[in-house]
Amino acid sequence: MGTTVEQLKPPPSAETTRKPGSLKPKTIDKLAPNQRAWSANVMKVLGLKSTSSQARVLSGAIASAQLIEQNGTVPDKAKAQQLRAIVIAAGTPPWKDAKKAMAATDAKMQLDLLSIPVGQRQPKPLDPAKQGVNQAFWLDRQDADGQERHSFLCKPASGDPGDQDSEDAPTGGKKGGEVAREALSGRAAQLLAAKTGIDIGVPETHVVNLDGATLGLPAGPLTCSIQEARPAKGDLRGLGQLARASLNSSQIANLAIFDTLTLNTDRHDGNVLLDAGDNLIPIDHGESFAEANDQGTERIRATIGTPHNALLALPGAHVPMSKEMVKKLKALNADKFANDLAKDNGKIGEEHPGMQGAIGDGALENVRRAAMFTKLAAKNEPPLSPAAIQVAMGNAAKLLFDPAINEATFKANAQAAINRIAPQQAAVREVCTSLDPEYAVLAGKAEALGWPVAQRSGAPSADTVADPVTLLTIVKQNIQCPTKMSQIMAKIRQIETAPPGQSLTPADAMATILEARRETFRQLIAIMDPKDGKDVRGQVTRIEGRASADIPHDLAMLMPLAIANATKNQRARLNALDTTHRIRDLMREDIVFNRTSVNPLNAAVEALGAGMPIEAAKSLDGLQTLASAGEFLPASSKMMADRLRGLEDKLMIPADDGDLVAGLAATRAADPFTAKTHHDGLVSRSKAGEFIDKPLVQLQGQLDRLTHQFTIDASYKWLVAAKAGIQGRDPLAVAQALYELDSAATRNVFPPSDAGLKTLASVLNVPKQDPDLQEAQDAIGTGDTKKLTTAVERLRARHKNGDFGTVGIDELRKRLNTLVGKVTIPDHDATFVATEAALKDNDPVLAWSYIMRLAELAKAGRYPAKS
Amino acid sequence: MSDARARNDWIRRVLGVDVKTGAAVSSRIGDGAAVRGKLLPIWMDAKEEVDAGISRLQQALREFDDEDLNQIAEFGLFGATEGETVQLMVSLREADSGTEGALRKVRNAVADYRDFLDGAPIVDLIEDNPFGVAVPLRKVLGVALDQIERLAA
Repeated sequence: MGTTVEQLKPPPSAETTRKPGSLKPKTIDKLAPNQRAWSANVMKVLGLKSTSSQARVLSGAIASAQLIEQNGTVPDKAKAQQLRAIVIAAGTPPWKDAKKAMAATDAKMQLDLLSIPVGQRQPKPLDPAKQGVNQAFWLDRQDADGQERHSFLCKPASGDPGDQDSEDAPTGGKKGGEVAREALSGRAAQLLAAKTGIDIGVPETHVVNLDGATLGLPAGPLTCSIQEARPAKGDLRGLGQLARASLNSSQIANLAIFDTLTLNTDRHDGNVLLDAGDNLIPIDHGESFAEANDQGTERIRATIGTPHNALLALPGAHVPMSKEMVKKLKALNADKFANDLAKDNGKIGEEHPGMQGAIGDGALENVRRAAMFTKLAAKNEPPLSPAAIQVAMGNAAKLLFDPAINEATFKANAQAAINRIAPQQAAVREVCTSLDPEYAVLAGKAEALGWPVAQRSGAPSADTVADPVTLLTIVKQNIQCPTKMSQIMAKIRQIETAPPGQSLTPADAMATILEARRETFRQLIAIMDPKDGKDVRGQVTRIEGRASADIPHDLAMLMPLAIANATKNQRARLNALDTTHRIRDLMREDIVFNRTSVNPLNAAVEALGAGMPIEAAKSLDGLQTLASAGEFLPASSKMMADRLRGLEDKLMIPADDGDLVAGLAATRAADPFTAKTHHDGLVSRSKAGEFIDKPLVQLQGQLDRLTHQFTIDASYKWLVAAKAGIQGRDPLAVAQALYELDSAATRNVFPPSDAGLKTLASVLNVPKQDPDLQEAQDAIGTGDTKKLTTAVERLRARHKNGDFGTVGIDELRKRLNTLVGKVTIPDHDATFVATEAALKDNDPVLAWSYIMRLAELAKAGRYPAKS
Repeated sequence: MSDARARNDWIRRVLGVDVKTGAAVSSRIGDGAAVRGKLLPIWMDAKEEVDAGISRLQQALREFDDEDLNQIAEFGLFGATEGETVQLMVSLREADSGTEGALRKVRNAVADYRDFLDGAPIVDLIEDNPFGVAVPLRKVLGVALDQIERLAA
């Protein structure tokens, strides 16, 4: 009986809870329909795809089965039906049961093999130069478009872990056990994601039994690990510094925590792949689960907190753990995590007897302790970075994973290790993320003192200084190496266990690194960007964005770097890297790449792109010469000067203010850091209310003018509002109240004050003995507002009749110019600006009142007299 | 002229205060020197406010522990607007450093960004998210664009 398309659909039980097209029925229920619809729309708009590895296994298996049903031979179709049934029987992902997951993945692998036409099913060696069981193979599938694609990476076991004579693996276990360790790591990733939400996106990995003939090896049963193949564009090797800095810090943190928990001792830079979106794909976990013996413990020490661990070189690993991560780790139960892994380890052994005992109980006890250590570290305040946790655990490996110590001793040792690393995080970051030449300088200094220092590339080696804090301590304190190795190691231990107060402070560590001037660059970036390093990824993305937008200034180095990364010609690559380094050196000189510098910089980059390195070098020589001659201002100094001037203007800070003077002096002395200190001081003083923003000062002046010119009741609502606005530093509220006050004044709602009456009399040209004027003055004296208002109305009416004549705009302009000739009135002075506006608006009454006010203020000494 | 507009005009002209922002109005608008160093901070401040809203939305999405929402939170939200800001930030930086012709670039970039804000489906989706998190992209960034446009006029 043939299989119909209908039969190839997932079981109804899954579909009833599943959204069409989705393979995640259990998650659907958490969301309301409108939220699910929103999610689907956003995924569509952003071009995101589901990342669940198990979901891909399920959908891929069904797709392969369909293909076999259409194109396969009769025996293949029958086999495909059986395999499909196995996959379907596993239910819908996530498959929390290890056996189900193993069975489904095994079936999927076989379906993939069957999807390829008979005669073309030969697996492809990963590295054709290798032979035998150490070889790894690609197992392919055929897709509906007829194309063959990698489906799994298959690694045969390198030995029999059950054989007592088998060689030891680096982790202290037996060779051949890497298959089980790979598979258990995959389970650990699933467990961690399920229990905490920390999802590292590890490809689905399992143990399978194959006939060696399938892989072109001698026929017979062969135990292999298979890992789902994921499209990747490369790995961390050769990745530039800026590209490393742009990697997603939360993915890095997830992976670092996972490696810490599973005691992965082989996270070198070839074991982290990157997909097209620069997402991390962790692979090769065959050296996880270090055993609780001397070899396993030394392996932890030599790898997890040392340059061998590629994650430590990523800036994202040094970002303090987020609150979210701390919360997730709080949810982790160390005992249960280890117990669940022990159960899965048992199931692997049941299904694949050759793997029984491949991972010892001691290794799983180590996992429990690693989880406890990580949870303890997550409680530290302020939060530690994942990198700091790895360094701390690696350094203290012998104190933490000694099987002989009891729980209390373990906890005390763990806390001591955490306390020691907490104040050293900046030093850890600086050493770990330093450029290779900078690290070489540091290592060279330690080596000159007689110490063997771990190299960044190559296999981890015992008896070397590998811990970054120790390395810095040696260099900073100029510690000579004793001649005997035992003494060397004792000295390392002494430094490692020194209390925080007696170790290097982060500031000291910084000072050492400053020799390579990288710190200057880092601080410059911090000053340039208001985010101040809070969002490193965002910064770097923006920086790269600017560079890609053809901005040749400060980031031109990215272009040769891109050329270096793109070319396969070794000489061109070296030339490009050399140019990159030279431009970066110029950046470290803190130079403003202004118009003068852009041309030679562009010329250098263009020459390099055209394959003319000598021309590029000449251009850079010219740029360097200009820089040496002091042609360019230091960038950060100029920026700080601009900021200080901006504050001075905005907050109307007196020119002789101490912070302002000192800050500006520092910028002139090319000391932007001191300048920033004074700048920050001014900002703090402003926040404390010492300065008032310019608009408020101006508005206060306007209010003074109104209250000076008119008699306004103190309870009048707009007067109250204006005063409240000034009190509350709300310029908009003040401005709106002033508008209402001014409108009311224009409608003659307020009778004039004594000063206002004089102004009015002057503007209207009223003789001093005029009876209406005298009546008004009397009314002010007696407080008779009604009488005052009536008298003023009469004066205005008579003015309209032409009884007094007026002072014209030209005459007022002359009077203003006379005043300006005598005193210095700032351009931004509110009354002056208002006067100009009134003259422009041909409003002599208003203009005259302002000029009178200016004169009064000048008389009171507000404006300095001109010599 | 409406009352509000008359009032705003008066406040701006007589008091020298921008009614929308409360900031002082420069008497030298249009002069490149007057805006130097002022444009990028306006944008960065607005962006920071928007980013804070997006962070809150990310947090809300992650609380569901849903694969798709986690993905959106991880890769989708900041990136959705980040790429569009490059041209704008480049022009603002140039204007702030006094590069000749930069104000024209600023005006073009502001217009382009407005087009993006008006037309990008992701902006609608973020603003109308069904998770009760307010992320007023258009309002906050729009005010900043208004300010920048006035200064660069």
